[in-house]
Amino acid sequence: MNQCPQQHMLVDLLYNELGDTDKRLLTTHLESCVNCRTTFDEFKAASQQLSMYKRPQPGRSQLTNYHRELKKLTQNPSRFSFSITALVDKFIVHPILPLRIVEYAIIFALGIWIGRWELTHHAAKHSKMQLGAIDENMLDNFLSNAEMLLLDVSNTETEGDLREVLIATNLNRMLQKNTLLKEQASQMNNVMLTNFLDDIELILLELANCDGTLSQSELSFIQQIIKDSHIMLEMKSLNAI
Amino acid sequence: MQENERELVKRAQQGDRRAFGKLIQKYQDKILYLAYDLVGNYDDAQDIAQNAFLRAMNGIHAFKAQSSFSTWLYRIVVNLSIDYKRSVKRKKQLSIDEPTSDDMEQSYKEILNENDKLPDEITELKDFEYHVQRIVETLPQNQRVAFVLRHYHDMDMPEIAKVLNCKTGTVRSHLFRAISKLRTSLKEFERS
Repeated sequence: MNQCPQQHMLVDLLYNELGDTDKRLLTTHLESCVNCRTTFDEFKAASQQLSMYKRPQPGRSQLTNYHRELKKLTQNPSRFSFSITALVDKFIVHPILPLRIVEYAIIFALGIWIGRWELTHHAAKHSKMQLGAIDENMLDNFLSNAEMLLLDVSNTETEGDLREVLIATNLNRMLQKNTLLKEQASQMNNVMLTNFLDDIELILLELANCDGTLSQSELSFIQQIIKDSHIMLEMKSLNAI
Repeated sequence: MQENERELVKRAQQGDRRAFGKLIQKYQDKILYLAYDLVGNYDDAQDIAQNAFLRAMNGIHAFKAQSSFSTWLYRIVVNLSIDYKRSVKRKKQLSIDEPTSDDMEQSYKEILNENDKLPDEITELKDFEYHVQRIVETLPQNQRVAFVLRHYHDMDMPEIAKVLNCKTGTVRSHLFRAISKLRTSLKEFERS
């Protein structure tokens, strides 16, 4: 069955939702179109029939219970959670436009600040690495080894004892460490440490040059160097630092 | 009156529960009936209505006043009812329960007392009520909602469009189809 284009408008006419002009036009159309008129009449009859329908009412106790439950909803207000929800909604979920702009600006500024902090922090760390910070572990280790060696040498009475000390000590390794630490100290412009390491290097070299031919006079000479250079005193002050 | 409601909504948005309580009082029965018209029994309708008010209370800050408060509230109820219907369908429970609960009985007693009808007429009316409920329930979801809102709750088509979040023309189409089907069903009922 072909439908008139106006047929859907019958609903508007049925529920009286048409403007005056449209209503007049459709009424005129109904006079000439049997199809639409029949449909409209049937709609009208159905609508009248349906208006006879009466919705069953809820039981009185059920209705009372329902009203009481709804009343509870607004009583004992947990104002705190209510306020939190309101604040979250107001400031995060649905902020007003100026507030949103301010929030974006804050986030932007925070991003820049974090970025700059990261950059400067890393740069400082990096430059420190490049400058050659003193390897403190290596320095501590070296100083304790050197202190032990110097004490042993100072307290040795015979060349035989000294020979035993030298056999137990890896002088070459100590000289290598000393060179490394001296480089680091000079890069850091640490004059005191550089001078101190120079003194130790001198003693280490003297000891290394002894080889197997060590005499009592050489031992006394080395002990004198240690005594004159006040190296033990310097070492104590350095350790204190 | 409308101004008063706007004021109440504004106060409720600021956290005034007493204002929201007044809004509840104003709409509690309409919402219950709408839920009933959509789900077909008062037990579930009550749950849906209570849930709708709870949702409205928690979400009133998001209400932008682009539509009226009632339209917004009706939309919540309609969505909850649709969700309920879907869950019932999913659970394969009976979607059309015969309305022979105490509520129905009481309603017929009220009709009997009020109109002082003869027993035959009452039976006929009971059949008619039952039949109307059944055929409305068998309508497709959007047609049913549009019909219920227009016919039982006197909402105009633009308002229904806001509730269903569609265009007025779509609502018109839903109503046209709904009434066509109801007309056919009523004819069959008369014949039987």
